[in-house]
Amino acid sequence: MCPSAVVTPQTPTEVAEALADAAERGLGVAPVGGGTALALGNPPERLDVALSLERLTGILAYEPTDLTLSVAAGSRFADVQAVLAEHGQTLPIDVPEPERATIGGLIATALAGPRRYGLGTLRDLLIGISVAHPTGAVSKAGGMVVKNVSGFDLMRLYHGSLGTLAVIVSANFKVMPLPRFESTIQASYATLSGALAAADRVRGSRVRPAALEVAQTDGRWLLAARIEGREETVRLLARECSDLLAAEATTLDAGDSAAWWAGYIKEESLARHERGVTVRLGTVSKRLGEVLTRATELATEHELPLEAIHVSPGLGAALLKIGGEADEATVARFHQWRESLLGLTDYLTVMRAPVEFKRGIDVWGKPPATLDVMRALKQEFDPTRVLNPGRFAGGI
Amino acid sequence: MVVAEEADLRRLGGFSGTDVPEPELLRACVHCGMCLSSCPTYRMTGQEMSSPRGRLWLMNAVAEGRLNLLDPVFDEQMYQCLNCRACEAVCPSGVHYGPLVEASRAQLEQHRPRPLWQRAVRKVALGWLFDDLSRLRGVVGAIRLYQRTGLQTLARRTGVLRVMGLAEVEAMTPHISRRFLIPGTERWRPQRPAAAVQLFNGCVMGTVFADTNRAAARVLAHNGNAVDVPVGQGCCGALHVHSGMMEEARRLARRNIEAFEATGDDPIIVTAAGCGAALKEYSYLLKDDPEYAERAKKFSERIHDVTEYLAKRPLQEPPRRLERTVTYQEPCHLAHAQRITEQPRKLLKSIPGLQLKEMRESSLCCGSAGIYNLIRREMANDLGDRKAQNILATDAQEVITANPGCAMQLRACLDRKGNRMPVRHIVEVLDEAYGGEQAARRGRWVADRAGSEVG
Amino acid sequence: MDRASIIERLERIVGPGGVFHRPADLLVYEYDGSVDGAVETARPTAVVLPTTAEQVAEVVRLAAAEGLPVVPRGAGTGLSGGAVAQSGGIIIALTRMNRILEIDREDRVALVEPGVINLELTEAVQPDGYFFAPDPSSQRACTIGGNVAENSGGPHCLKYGVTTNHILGLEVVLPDGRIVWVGGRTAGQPGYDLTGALVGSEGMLGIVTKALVRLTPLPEAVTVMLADFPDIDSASHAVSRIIGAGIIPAALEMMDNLTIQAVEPAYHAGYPMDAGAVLLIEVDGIAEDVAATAAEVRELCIEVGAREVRVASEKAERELLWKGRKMALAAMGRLAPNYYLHDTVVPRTKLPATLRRVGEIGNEFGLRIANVFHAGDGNLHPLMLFDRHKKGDVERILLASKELIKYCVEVGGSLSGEHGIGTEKRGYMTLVFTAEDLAAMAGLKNSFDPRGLFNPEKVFPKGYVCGEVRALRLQAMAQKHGIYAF
Repeated sequence: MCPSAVVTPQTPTEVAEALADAAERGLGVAPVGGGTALALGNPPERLDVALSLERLTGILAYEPTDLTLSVAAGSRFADVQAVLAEHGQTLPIDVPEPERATIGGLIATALAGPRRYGLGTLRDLLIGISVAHPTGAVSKAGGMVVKNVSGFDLMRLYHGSLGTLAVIVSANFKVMPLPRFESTIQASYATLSGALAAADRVRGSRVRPAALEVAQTDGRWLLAARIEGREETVRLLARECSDLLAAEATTLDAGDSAAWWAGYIKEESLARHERGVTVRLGTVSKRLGEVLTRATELATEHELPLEAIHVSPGLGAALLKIGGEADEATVARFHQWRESLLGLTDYLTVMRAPVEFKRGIDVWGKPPATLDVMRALKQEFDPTRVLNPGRFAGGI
Repeated sequence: MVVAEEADLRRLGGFSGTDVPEPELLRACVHCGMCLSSCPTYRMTGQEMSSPRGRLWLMNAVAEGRLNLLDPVFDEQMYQCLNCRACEAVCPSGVHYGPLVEASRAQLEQHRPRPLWQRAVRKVALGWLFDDLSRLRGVVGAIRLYQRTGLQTLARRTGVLRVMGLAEVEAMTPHISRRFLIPGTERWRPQRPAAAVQLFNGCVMGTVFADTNRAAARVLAHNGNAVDVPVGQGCCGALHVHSGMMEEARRLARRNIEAFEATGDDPIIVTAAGCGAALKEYSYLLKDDPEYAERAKKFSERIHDVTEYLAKRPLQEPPRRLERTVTYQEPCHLAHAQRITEQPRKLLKSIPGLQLKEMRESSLCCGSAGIYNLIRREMANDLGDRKAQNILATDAQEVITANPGCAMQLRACLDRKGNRMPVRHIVEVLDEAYGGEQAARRGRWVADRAGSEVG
Repeated sequence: MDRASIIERLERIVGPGGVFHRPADLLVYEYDGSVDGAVETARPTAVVLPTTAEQVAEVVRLAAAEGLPVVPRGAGTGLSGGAVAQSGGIIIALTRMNRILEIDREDRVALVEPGVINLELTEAVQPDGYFFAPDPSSQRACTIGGNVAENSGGPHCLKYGVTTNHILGLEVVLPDGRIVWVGGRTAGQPGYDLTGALVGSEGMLGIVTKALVRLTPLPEAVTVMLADFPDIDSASHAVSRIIGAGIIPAALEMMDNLTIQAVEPAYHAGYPMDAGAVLLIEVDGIAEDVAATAAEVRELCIEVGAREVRVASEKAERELLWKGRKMALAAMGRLAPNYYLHDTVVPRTKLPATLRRVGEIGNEFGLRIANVFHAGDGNLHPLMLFDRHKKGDVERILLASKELIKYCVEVGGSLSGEHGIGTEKRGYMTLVFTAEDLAAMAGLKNSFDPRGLFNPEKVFPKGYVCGEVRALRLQAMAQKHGIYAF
């Protein structure tokens, strides 16, 4: 689907005006940041205008001593990180395409990488937000302090709402100090259950890694634990972690560690691979092994090639990449596979897929139990369905 | 839409007469609510009027004329309170809750018409019986007879108690000491006395639990204290204060002050936490009595709970090991009213071999609360059951406490669970570790019947 | 339906022992923990104490049918008037729903009813090596449901985050009487983050009937330091230096001289009486790391002028140092019959200037103001001493409060860090938020509770009716906009 127009407002007010205008004309608007997550969601009911935030850039306020940052929504993640790094600070989230992805897009999509396990997501760092509404108004919530209960917590409402309620124009964060040192411990296992058992031991220990992942590589399962902190402590914990793995472990330090993770995270990009389907599934941690085993068995049964599996044992989540062409037979088999897994998982989202795969399904899986509350929210914030109509869960 | 009806809270003009809850003390409450979780009746009911904060608010409402003193809710709440004082111990503003609830009860006693039979029962039970301890001894003696003659077994078998509605009261009646401790008739002397103390005998302690008082005396003597039980003393009056019978309480207080003034400045040792708390508050009880105010203050300063006194100085190492696990139930009037929490534990830990295993909610009232368990059985039983559960969860072999009311309540609630675990006073355990009565014969200290001075 | 019939219906739902309606019973539900004068008392029509979510839902449905306001209440220790029934109606007190339903050690979560007391949840999971991290100073009495409603904080939130960071899912009774689950054990479920929207919504969107909370592993080692500074400025500077060095202590608390003067004689925690301010700094984590971090913190404090830094790693010693902080309110409370505890937040760099302003305000209004607060996150707790029975005291306190709040907002701060807005600060909302900001918040409110029956007269400024906002918004939409160039 292609928009018939692209708007590139320069100020929050212009964003709001554009939205109000679209609302009046009954147009559908898709807010666009870096364009790295365009694949996410159902095909919108209407798409007339692409509202690009690329000209809303720049640091609006940064007080390193306070560890607070206010930044325009169209700012590229890498640019923001570069400014923070000058002061030894960071937004500790994993972004596959940092040069392209924007702050607003990252909040709207709530995509989070491996370090979500130990460090949380932008949800935990957002202290204030400004958005533009289809009414033409610009509103804010929260503030520039790290602890605040003044008014409703709209930051969390907008976070992960995929631009269906309002368009984020700027955001305030509490930022974190850059870790002084990091190491990554890796070990390889013949079976998924072997790797998950090792992950369980690490989770139960005092190591408390920032990230803990298991990935399928060359028919084996690689476990990687990323440990951050004071150098002596990291080295000590790295040794303890190695002992827990009960397998031959290798350790990557500092830059090597960071580089390895950058590569790993890049593989999770939704913008990179042009063919195949990327699926994210989630269940409670203790059922993850069972669910994944069943998912792979079913994939074999349905002749769907699983090209990559990234497992986050502590989060009860996994990212699966399925290869194959978008022919009718493959699509049908994929839909069968997905259908049989829906009942086994707490959620199963088709994150990226050629449009043929998306037809006839809600890519977000089962409708949320509270869909009517969500619809009421949509009705309040965007009564004329200007913003990404139909793109989000349950066709919101 | 229903509009809230304007409450028909009759204006009565607040408190009047004697023992008015002091406005200054009342005002100290800023209704922060920090007391709620400490209050047994709030814990059981979850309702605000059954919390210390709620009750103080009601008292304030009466004082301000917003609530009728005789409103049934006020009456109910003032008497539902166990007066365990747990709220005082956690109050950030230092509200003196005990005196306020006692004064409120005194107000109710003054202004509330009670049926004649109730007044008569109270007069006899609390007035006549406790006024002269020889009467109490007579009654307790009769119960002892009942226990020993086989009548008890008979009564229990026939179910006559249940018919008479006395089963629970009967179940709570403890095993009564063989010989009462009568002031002036016994004393204890160590071979090298380092100090002299006076034992407050009390009513229930001196009769039902006379052996516990003797154990306390032996432990004191073992640690170098000469122990006397001065004549002329009587009941402490705590039950009267708790029931709002202030004048009766004052009469008893004056008598005790006089009895102990004869013994100089010696520390006065108390074995019942409830009595100790009341005795320490004579200064407050008699503060408006020009003749006794100063004397009461002096008297109160001399009062020590036996655990408080013993823990002050290094204890003689007990010669016997007691290889067992015990748990400790804190009497409210020790832990909250007197803020004595560390000392009993310290004493228990000083006994070789003894393991102290803490129970959950050890400082939550067991439901005894003076005579509360006799008049409000449902709440008392619920609290008792909760306590028994917490005790049993520790797997201890004995439960230790430091107050007769608690001991009786614990016995009854453990019995209800079919458990015969011993319930003991802390001094009994210490006494056992020192060798009990036999130790006397080994010449470490001497007990004698009054008269002949020994050692 | 008349009042008697409503009471009867309520009694049919929760049983006669769970409904209170006599005037004297209602008297004790007219307040919460808020300061007299700052929050008006108000009496509900009835109070119900349900024991199940179904009962809550039925009561809510009855109230909805009758158009009666509904006010949820936990222990009533809140400090912003959130649990007071400002326009009457039914108070639903959740104190009898106080069971811990499940402790899942493997997944490190607990499922609790809303009436569970905060500290008792921690006590229940402590033997397994966990704790519930939010630790408001009322934690011995306040309930988890209340913590969720107010998004409560506490000293250890500096490192561990506030309540919202520890709530994974909620069972909620919505204003239409339905019982729904939001969130859950599995993070990242598609759809709007309703859990995030509900936490801190002050009982205006739904009534929590179950909470799925995160359990945090107890730290292996803890060290507490008491740093003695000659003045508030150097202490504030130390706060910035510690945070700036990339150290996130478990807690970082400041006490000024007036506080020390009150605390030390009462509790003998060993605070230096002549200090201008002290910092209480707790670091925790794995043993080897804690020692190194503590040493570093000590250095930093000395560098910026600390006269002495006492380091306590033994439990008894740590507890003694904390005792002074924890009992500070109690000690201050004994200096005057009443105190007004404020709860504003300023950027950490604005602490010295703000504290100076607090001192000035004290002088201007002839008030004694002590400062004991969460310095690490800039959360001030100026404590104004007064006597509510003294003529004019309450008025003076309220005027001084206004000055204080205005200043904090001017330097980029916020109205409340952890106590909530309730009725106490609703009048100040327009200092921070524009009509558009409030309209967006009203949008959230309307989507849950279009009739405005859940905890009315809270958060939004007086006279602000959410329904009107909708009209305003539609009006705004109807306004013509120039065509934007494509």
